[in-house]
Amino acid sequence: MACVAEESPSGMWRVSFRIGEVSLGLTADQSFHRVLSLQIQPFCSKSEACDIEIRLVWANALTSPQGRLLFDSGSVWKLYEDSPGFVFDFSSPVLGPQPYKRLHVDRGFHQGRILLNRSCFPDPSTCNPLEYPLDELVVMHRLGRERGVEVHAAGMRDAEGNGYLFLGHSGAGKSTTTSLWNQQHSMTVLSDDRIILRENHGQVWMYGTPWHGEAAFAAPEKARIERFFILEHAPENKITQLTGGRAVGEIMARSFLPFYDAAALENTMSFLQEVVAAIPCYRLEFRPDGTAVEAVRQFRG
Amino acid sequence: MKQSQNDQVAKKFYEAPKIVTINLRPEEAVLGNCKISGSSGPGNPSCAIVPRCSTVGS
Repeated sequence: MACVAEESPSGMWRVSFRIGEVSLGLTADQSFHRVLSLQIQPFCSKSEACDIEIRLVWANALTSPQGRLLFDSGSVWKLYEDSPGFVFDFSSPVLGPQPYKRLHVDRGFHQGRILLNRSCFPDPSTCNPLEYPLDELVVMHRLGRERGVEVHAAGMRDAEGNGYLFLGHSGAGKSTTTSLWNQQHSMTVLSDDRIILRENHGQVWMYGTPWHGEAAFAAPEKARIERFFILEHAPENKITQLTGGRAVGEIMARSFLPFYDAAALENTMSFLQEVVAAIPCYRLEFRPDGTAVEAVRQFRG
Repeated sequence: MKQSQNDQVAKKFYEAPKIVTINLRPEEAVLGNCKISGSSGPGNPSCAIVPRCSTVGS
């Protein structure tokens, strides 16, 4: 749907999104520009009350947080724990010594507040509050509290509605596989890099996300899947079933998880165990040509 | 007799427990890293850590 902000008589505006059945609402006053990345706009939705509600606030300065450092990503963000919940700090040497953005969020990832450092954004029209990786972090942490997980995978759906999911690290062949399938069949590609898995009444569903890979496929679509494929380049096509524990481990190794959050990890592990019990998981060694596509389509394991 | 046949069908082979190491890739398991430049997603312009945006219609 078109990404149109709703405005209230009090002068506030609001946009909402739905990604992998997680809804996210963003509310701000008119001093904030409605700036959203192009890739998240197709995921706009109409939601009056979202799973996660975030309010935007300006801060004149952002000093060091008081909480305990839980995790340093080594990139732009660090995570702290404070008494009501968590604090994500986003910093870059390009934007000065202070964090350019801070997210306060409760432990359940229901309510959040983004503080944008005014000194880092002299031109507010250049400021995208949900800019990657904040949007993905919020959804990923919320999934850790639900029955779902974000995985490093390419996912697509054929004209008959069959879903095909290929998990893989970088270089495993996700983009190649997406391209091969797209050339040979009329496919709806949900994502070439990031897929969200959810379980619903014993069925496993995959959802597209805005966080695409090199081929830039990102669709707000879903498809039911009947098996997992773990991608691996090889000289010949070969499909081998992975047993329960091994399958869970291989999928976890290709998942985005809050490793510093024991409860979320346990929840995700339990979710993956259920998912792997419901549908089989295979290692797909594949040749990067059309024979791999047919090998999968004809496979009835 | 029928019950006995069912029991045999249901019986699973014992598989001894074993430890298997599955490697994580920290650089991929943590969000925020960039793969490519000049596009969006994990390779979006913010990977250059200079906020650049497109404005949504309102």
